[in-house]
Amino acid sequence: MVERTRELDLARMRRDRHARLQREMRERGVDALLLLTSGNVMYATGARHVMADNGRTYQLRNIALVLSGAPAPHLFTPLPEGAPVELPADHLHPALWPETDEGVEDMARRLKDVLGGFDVRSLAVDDFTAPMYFGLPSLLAPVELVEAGTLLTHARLHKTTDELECMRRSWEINEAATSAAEQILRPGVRLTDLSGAFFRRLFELGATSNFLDPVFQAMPDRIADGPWSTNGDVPFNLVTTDHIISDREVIWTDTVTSYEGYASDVGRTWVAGRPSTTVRRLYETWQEITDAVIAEIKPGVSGDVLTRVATERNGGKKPWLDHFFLAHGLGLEGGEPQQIGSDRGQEYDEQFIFEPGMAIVVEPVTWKEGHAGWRCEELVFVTDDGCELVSHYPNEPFQ
Amino acid sequence: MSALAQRGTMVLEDGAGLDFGALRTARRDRVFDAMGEYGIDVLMLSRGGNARYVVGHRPIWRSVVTPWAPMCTVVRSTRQIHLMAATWDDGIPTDISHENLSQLMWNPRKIFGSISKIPGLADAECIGVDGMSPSMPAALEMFAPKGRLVDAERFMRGLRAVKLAAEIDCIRMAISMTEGALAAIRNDLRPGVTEWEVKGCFHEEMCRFGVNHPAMEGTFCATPRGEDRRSEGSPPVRLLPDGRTLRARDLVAVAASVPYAGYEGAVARTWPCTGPTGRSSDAQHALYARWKAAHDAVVERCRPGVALVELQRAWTTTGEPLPPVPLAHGVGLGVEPPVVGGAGAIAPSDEELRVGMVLGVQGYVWENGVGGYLGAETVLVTDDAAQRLTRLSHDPLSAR
Repeated sequence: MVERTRELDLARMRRDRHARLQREMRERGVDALLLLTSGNVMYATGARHVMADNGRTYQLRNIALVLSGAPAPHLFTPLPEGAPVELPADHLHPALWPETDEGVEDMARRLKDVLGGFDVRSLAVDDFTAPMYFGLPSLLAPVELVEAGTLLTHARLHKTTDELECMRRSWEINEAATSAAEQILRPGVRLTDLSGAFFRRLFELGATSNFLDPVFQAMPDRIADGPWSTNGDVPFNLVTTDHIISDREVIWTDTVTSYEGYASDVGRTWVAGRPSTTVRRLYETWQEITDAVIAEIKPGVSGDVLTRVATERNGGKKPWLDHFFLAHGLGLEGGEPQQIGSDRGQEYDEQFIFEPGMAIVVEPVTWKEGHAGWRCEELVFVTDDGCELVSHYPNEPFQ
Repeated sequence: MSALAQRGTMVLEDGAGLDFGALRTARRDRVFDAMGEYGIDVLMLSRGGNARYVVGHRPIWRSVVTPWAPMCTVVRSTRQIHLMAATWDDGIPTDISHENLSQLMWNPRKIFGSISKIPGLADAECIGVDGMSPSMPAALEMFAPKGRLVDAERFMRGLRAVKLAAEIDCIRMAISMTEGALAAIRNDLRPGVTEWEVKGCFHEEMCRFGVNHPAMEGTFCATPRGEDRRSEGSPPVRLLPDGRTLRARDLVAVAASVPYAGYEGAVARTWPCTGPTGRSSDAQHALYARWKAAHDAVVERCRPGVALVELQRAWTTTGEPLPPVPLAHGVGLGVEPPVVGGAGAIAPSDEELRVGMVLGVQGYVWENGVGGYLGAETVLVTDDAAQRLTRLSHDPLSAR
């Protein structure tokens, strides 16, 4: 039962996630998890970090070790202040540094210290540094190293009410920061100024961090006016530049930010100045498609229903970007691997069934050569009997 | 001191300026030469700094670490570079042909199909990788049946450690923007302002330079004035800003990094929150003096041939406890090894400093009842004494 609530209990959320990992480990016969990638470490431990360029994170990283049957995860961190308050002192360890052979020898020694009293035959790992890949298997033998990614993807797919509330707050803060950027939008302003206004409001409001170079892109009227692309589709999302916005230019946004690790993924379309009637029609079609798609989302429905409905409403042409998808899962750190309408194909979409507790972003695109197009992202939570629309950003000036 | 050492933002105006084409060529030549020397046929790189070193492209930036994938493949026999998740040529140097770009894909079968088509991969006997995801070795065995995998992270680290002159200029530009944005927010540290607000102001100032993301979100934190339950003998520190309100007499640590063309430096300062009429205290000035003495001792040892372990010794010899942050780390296209000290980092090896390395040298001292002083400078190892690349003063605490 997924309840609608604004309550948030972070300690309960971490406890529930730990219990879910324990269940997955039992069901799959995995004795321990060793996690290095950001989203998985956040899921297992709830530890915060100073988010940074990944070059910095490789050198100063959080690593999680989860033992089957243990009451709490182990966290190895260069930033003990980022550990949740309830993490027992003997589960909080100085950082591991698996960047050199000596660092991996040290890692193996310290992992064995923790694993010591447990009967560990299989250790599931989500990623290796090069020295880990070449050194760890023999250092930990006879423990068998297996793949952890599938287990974590499955555990992370269904959100608890606390996780959903984090996502709701994440999205609300992101929308407010996006709105601060929209308020300074006018011809003559630079795209990076929009990012400045966005960041300022984002952090003032207490977003835990930012995950993506914020995208504020001036769209070309015609695809051919943009850069060359592999697929000939609308080139989005490009790296934001200090391009000066001109009158009637169409701006697409895409910002991914965090509340306690949970991502929001706000995407909007704006027009600098008065929009043309064609742009208005592009918006209207986009809205019809989006409403129709969201109306279909409920438990038991498969992903291909969404792609079919969206395509029908767009006169038989698929209304989403070729290199992206019509909809995707959302969770810690950004989009999750469930994509509908992607290059995984029809069969994948048919097999994807909506279930309560899933968080789904819907992102149709309408486009008309010569006039650019409309693209916004909306977030829904799948409930017991339908879905809840979480995003609330108005489509000015049309609504 | 040479005229060169005195350039800040004027770095692009003086001398030859920055020729990115020449920089890319110089970096790539280094990579191909070293591949030949070490007998590496193909490099498969996932790490942003490594890929950018070879390619010189401008990918969309994310602050998360995702599983290893061969985002950039470098083939020695063809001297070609192949990029994954490159749907368009925006931000990609023109000398990389369109055929070498493979679009963003989600279907593992299609991703593997695209990798398998890279000319020269099938015949490779030695493949350097800078990491590995658990599902990838089986696929690579199929695409390169003769290929033996070797550690390319160590290989790339060796190449990246010693900087080219143009790389140092990029680092100077990055530092100049970081210092500019920091200087612009100094007067925002007033009693009643939250740390979140200060962090927000910094990011807004950063974007005024036409930059769109920081290299790290940074520290904008009132340092603790009392012991912390988790400090355990290490000086209590706070590095994660939160919603707390700054108070008069707080010592506020600020550490930030704005990248330029992917390069970054290291800058940290500590400022007293005094309000418009307040004054910094003697105890705060004394704390800065302690930091400076210990920090100078480390910078003094930043000379060619000095072992990393010596840097740590230089700090502790002054009587200060090891800080809960790294004492030194490489900078360039991101933070790079070596990393010396810091919470839990393993003891530094006997690796030696070389001319042309650029280090962020950092330190933290703390006094019960007063707070902490966090400071970081970026220095270039030269034939002679280390050259400081950071330029922002430590005022007001250094102004006595």
